[in-house]
Amino acid sequence: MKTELYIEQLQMLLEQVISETTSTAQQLAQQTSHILSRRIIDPGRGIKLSTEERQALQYEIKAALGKSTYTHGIGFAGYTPENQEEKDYWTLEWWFKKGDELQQAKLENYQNAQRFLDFRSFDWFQQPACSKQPYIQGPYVDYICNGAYTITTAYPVMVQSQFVGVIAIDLLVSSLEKVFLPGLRKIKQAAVIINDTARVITSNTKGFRTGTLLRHTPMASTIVRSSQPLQLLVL
Amino acid sequence: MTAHTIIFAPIEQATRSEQVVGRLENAIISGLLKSNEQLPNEADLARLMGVSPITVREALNTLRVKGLIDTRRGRNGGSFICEISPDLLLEQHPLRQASSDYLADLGEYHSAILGHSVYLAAQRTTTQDLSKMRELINLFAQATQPDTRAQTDMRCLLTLASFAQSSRLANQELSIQAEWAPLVAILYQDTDFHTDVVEQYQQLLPLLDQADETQAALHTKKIISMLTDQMLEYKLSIA
Repeated sequence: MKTELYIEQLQMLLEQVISETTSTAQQLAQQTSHILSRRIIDPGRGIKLSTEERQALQYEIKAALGKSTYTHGIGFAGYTPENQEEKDYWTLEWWFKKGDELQQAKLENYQNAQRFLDFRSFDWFQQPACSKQPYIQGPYVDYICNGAYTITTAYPVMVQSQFVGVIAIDLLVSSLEKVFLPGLRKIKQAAVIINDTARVITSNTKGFRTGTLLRHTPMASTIVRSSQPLQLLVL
Repeated sequence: MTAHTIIFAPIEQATRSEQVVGRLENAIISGLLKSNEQLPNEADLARLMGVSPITVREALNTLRVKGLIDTRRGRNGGSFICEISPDLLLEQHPLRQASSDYLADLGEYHSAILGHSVYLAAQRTTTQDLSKMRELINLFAQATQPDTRAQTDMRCLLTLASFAQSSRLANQELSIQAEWAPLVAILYQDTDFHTDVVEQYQQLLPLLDQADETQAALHTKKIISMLTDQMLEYKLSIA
């Protein structure tokens, strides 16, 4: 059956997007760790990037951003608590695509705004900080960096076994739609792409708005309980 | 969009220098821009706010004369926010300066945005999301200073708005908060009032848990209305 083939193809595409994004995040996290490897890390104190470290990091971030067609933004986020000499500091070395160009988001300049918004409360920072494991958050409204509906893949950066921050990769739901819609359209039945909490990302049928939770619909019982960040549900 | 990008966001209408002064002055007096914080340089301000560098220079001069900013020369030079005396802060405070109809109108707008956000959020929150909300409301409850009470309050509302899964609604809420935060900060000097608001927030949680969109939305509008009424009452009491 052709439909079965299309379903399989789309499932493979979903897995591909996740695995590509996760491995890019992992690679960048390792590169970041290497850039910071010469320091002596004070446990729990985080790090502040030196000019050389920042430049080296920017080079790697821009390279990674240039390679992906559907990624919106990539960056390093870290936090240094207050001490006697300095106030607390939110490090956010963030680059994103604007048309054909790569731009830097000057988010670090506004520390008071960063203090108010505090990205440490977002799962993409908090989860890797606690578990030292990668984490995918979303879709969610990212009002700190890009202001759009986003899926963020975060990978912890470890230096000398200490957590110093995360590498985060932003995928916009609007961009993912463009990637998945051709495949979704080929499937005759109603098909929905959801996340691991049954939240709708996109579908080929009206009545499944982006952002809604499927638990309130009759087919909730047929949802496969999977921990995959992107799943295809054919109804 | 961050609070700072809203302060420095493009100025829309024809009147220029006065609007720039007004926006920056408001942000300084209400503490959104802090003492000794550095402003973006003239060229950046002009670009961010969509006005000419001459307009920016004129506005900065006015702010300097008013004693709100200070310009330092040299390598680490630029314009810095001055330390403002508490008397000046109270006299110039937006809650004092704003008209009653302005406050009431802001309340209606906030009610519309947040009310609909909560209407959507009621059907779109997971158990995880609700735990987070509970935590944030607790932080709001435990805050003892007016400005921390305002900050933790804003975080509750922003998170609530983001649970609607609509970036447009969340960004509007963030924009409204630039005006709302300083106004409620004054109200939270009254600990009894703070306690009342906390209780109202806590009553919202079971409604979200039950996914009762209509009641949750109504309750939220009631909360905003309560805060707006308190602002209007405060304003009458200090006149």
